[in-house]
Amino acid sequence: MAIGMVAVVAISIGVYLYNKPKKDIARVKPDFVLAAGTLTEEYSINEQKANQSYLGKVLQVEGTVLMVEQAEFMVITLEGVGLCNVRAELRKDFAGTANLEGTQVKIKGRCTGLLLDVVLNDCIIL
Amino acid sequence: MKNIIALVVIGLTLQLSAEAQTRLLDRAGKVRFYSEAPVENIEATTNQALGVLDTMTNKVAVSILMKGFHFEKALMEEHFNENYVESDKYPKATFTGTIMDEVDLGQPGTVEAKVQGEMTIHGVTNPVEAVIKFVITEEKMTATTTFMIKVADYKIKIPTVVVNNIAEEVEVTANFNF
Repeated sequence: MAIGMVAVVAISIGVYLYNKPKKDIARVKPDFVLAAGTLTEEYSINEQKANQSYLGKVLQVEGTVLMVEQAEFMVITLEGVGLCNVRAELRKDFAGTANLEGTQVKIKGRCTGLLLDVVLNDCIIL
Repeated sequence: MKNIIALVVIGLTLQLSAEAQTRLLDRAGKVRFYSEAPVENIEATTNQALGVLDTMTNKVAVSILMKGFHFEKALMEEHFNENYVESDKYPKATFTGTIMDEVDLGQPGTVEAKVQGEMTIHGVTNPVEAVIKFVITEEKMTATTTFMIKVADYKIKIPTVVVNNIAEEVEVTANFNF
């Protein structure tokens, strides 16, 4: 009987873990709050060092919107330094982003690293 | 004298613009991988791949952010990043290669070409050969490729417990719009 109970509990935990939802970025406190200019400057100077600080972390980034692209995910580009900008890939379910170009926004998302731009994942606009 | 300077400036500008045109770039290339195994099939996609194609030298370079892959389940994403590709240590996968076949990428139409190069995943580099299909129109060019990679070749260890959940060979598909 007891073994049966343990098995049921173990299986339930297993099923829960297997199906656990993704952490909701809206409820996560940002690890860093910074300007798009600062983030891109740090990545431009030393990618490895910047990765040590920011890779995989939740960042709240403020900057001017250069471009809004609508593809599978909406992508907002924030102005950085030189040729390096911030590319923020919005969460799939995130809607309501009309006429953002030229405006100042705060975006929260997880940093996935540097391509030509610093890339943020699962973003929401605050 | 002024004329000579003007000529040099024009010459340099022409050369620069010619060079600029031969190097095509996609900041949001799509990469998908698919693992088919007895217990479950796992698929992950990302739009966080940078693709560069130089139509003059026929060189190709791709850089992919490992933390940018989206999975169906949060647990898969966690295992992929923390246990398998160790994306904190190795945040990027890269490919550099050369198109081996004689192709005219300036001509509208569909053409396939063999590419040879080196792929680095999880800090391990292996030779890779694949066929790229180019669809070229007046406005744009798309490049698509599909190939298989062996997980063990990149020193990615799959624990015996989940050996039936993850395929030994994973299908990779990449798609770039230039």
